[in-house]
Amino acid sequence: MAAIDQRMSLLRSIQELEFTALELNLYLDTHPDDPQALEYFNRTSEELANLKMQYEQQYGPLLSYGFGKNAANAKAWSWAESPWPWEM
Amino acid sequence: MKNFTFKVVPGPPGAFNHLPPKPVAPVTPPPSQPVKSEPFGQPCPPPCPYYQHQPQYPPLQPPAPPAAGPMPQNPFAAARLAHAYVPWQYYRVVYPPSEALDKGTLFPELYQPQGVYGPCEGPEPCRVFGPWGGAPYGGN
Repeated sequence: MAAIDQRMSLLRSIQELEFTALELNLYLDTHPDDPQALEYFNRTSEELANLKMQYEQQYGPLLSYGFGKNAANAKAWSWAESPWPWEM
Repeated sequence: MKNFTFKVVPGPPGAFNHLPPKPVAPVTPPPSQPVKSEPFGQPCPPPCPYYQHQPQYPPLQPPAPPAAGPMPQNPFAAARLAHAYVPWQYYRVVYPPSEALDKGTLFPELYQPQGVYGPCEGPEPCRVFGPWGGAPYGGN
């Protein structure tokens, strides 16, 4: 149970950072010269990439169809191995 | 990317007529022509088929006079009527990511919790008034 909690907590962090990055994306579309927002966007997207990499290494790919990497240590196709969102 | 957004800053009332009036060329009246009072240029025979069923419009109602007393102070008093106006957003304080995801926006100035748009928003079914359905804005 603790493992799934850890996994869900990591997934939640990824969702939070993705939402923040999307909001800053929309803000920067209309305010491209805002250095503060741009700096926050860069920090957010970097942290988001780190968390995604950590999640995919521990739990399997977040996306399929060419967007995610098959886990490096997996011998077989790992996309269908991880639980579906409604199973978590 | 260049900033392509449309920004309208309201000026003081009456300040938009900053251009001098264009000189108006004198209008020469066109040569008078015989006025055709009948369609197709033909006089209508005595049981005239035209103009028998002219629509009768109700007399125009004059606009209601403004309410007595001073105009209420509103922050958009300087904005011109019939101009869409979106205030410019500035980057001030943002929510932390977890709070932003819960509230649906990163910016506190854009946060509008459930209920401020009236009774019919959200998943709750709307209370129905009258046979046509719907509900008055701001009702309960």
